[in-house]
Amino acid sequence: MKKKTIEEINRKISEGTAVVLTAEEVSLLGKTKSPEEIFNRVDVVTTATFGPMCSSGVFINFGHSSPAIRMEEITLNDVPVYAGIAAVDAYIGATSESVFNKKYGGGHIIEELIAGKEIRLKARGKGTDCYPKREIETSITKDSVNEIIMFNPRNAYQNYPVATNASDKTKYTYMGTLLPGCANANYSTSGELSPLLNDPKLRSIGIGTRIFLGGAQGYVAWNGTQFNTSKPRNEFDIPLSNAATLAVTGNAKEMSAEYIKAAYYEKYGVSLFVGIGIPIPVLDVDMAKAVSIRNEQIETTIYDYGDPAHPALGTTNYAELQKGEISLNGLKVKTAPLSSLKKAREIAGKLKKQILDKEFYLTEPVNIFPENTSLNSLKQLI
Amino acid sequence: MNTRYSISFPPEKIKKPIISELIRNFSLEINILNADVSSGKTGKLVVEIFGKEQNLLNGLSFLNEEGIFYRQIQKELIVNINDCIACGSCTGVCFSGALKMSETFNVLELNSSLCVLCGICIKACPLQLISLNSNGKIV
Repeated sequence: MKKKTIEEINRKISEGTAVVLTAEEVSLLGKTKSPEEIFNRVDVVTTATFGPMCSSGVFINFGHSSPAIRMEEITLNDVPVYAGIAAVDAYIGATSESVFNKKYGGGHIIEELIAGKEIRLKARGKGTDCYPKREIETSITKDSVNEIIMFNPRNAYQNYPVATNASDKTKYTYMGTLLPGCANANYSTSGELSPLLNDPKLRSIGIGTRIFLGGAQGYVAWNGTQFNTSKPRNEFDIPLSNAATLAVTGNAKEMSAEYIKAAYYEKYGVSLFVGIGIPIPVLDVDMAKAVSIRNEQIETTIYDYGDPAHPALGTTNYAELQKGEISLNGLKVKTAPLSSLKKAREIAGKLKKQILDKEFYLTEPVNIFPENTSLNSLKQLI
Repeated sequence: MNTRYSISFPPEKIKKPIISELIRNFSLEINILNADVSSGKTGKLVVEIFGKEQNLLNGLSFLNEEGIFYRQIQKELIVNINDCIACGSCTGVCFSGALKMSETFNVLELNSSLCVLCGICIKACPLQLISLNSNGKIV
């Protein structure tokens, strides 16, 4: 089988001869061209997603005061952040909530820091011989602190189930407002544009892969948490519900609030929209086939969030979901997305331009992800 | 012409078939968009009234005579479209068709004339960009 290497593709990028398409463009091309023709013609396919991803946050180092303090309890604009690491290091988790306003939280602090806004810092420590100061109240900005390193333990889910609600009460969930009697169904992921659906076996994405993260260049740090390769797949290798995930990292000081946005879901809490773009190298005909995947070929499972066990009610695909109505056991159900296709397109387009402008080169994964993983669940003692 | 009104009934007027009289005696068509009526409580309705202008004026005079408070709803749903990321979450709960994604999903489209002021979309927007202004507020 004919092959291209990442090295060859990068040489083409530097020579200005690489052919780069967005995942939507290549899916359209795939309707009329064979995988062989796509392999011969296309070098890189840019994929993207812009959805709410709760498992996100940033490490921050505030810098030392004089005299110094060992910060043991910290709030930023009254949002508690994790202080259980070294003296002036902290982790701002996206879902942490303000003590006074449940609609404001870590996601908002992260967005505002990236936007250059001033944030109120309050910290307390017991006082030690080496860190005698016991209290501090000050303001910080992204320029006043040492580092803001985004580290998101679980982003870019490979597919996600559709949520509906068969109960007789409105359910307010992380999948949005779900009206009773399956009146509506919400879906996430950007379908044929979504990164891990374009490389379903994760052949080109692994530890160390350079990505677009929140407007900056970031990296895949590890497999994401709840990484699951055991989900049933369809004939296009697409897992039929949430499967692989990515842990990603990058310099939040270089990011843009255009691609990192705080969210609040009614009666659920705060989350964070994260913009991720991943270039997929068309290494061989199999990869050409994978990136040509179309919405109608990407199936997903419909879950009932009205029941705590989330039983499956059926399957559908992204072409149906994007039509605005699906059929569920004979019932017509209105559908709506949760992730922004507009923003995902913007990111895929931006990444394409960066590659064509020789600002973004592809990387060989330092290591591939584990295979044959499945999930453990939590047992209760009483 | 059609116009939207919010109507408040004092508890003692609950027994009187006001809406029915507006329809029969003043040749008005009334579409109830939202209702909160129970005995012993001030009843609240949001209605859309269709009919000839003179009939409407006569109907409103009748409401005045009956001591029923009404006010025209002029301003409606406000969407801060500049900050909208076009995620689409609000469209799933909008059954009047006032909030819709464009065919390409690139823009949220608001058609205020279809809005029934149910307010469900306000809570469905994760960026909290949707509100009802004070005049249109369902209280």
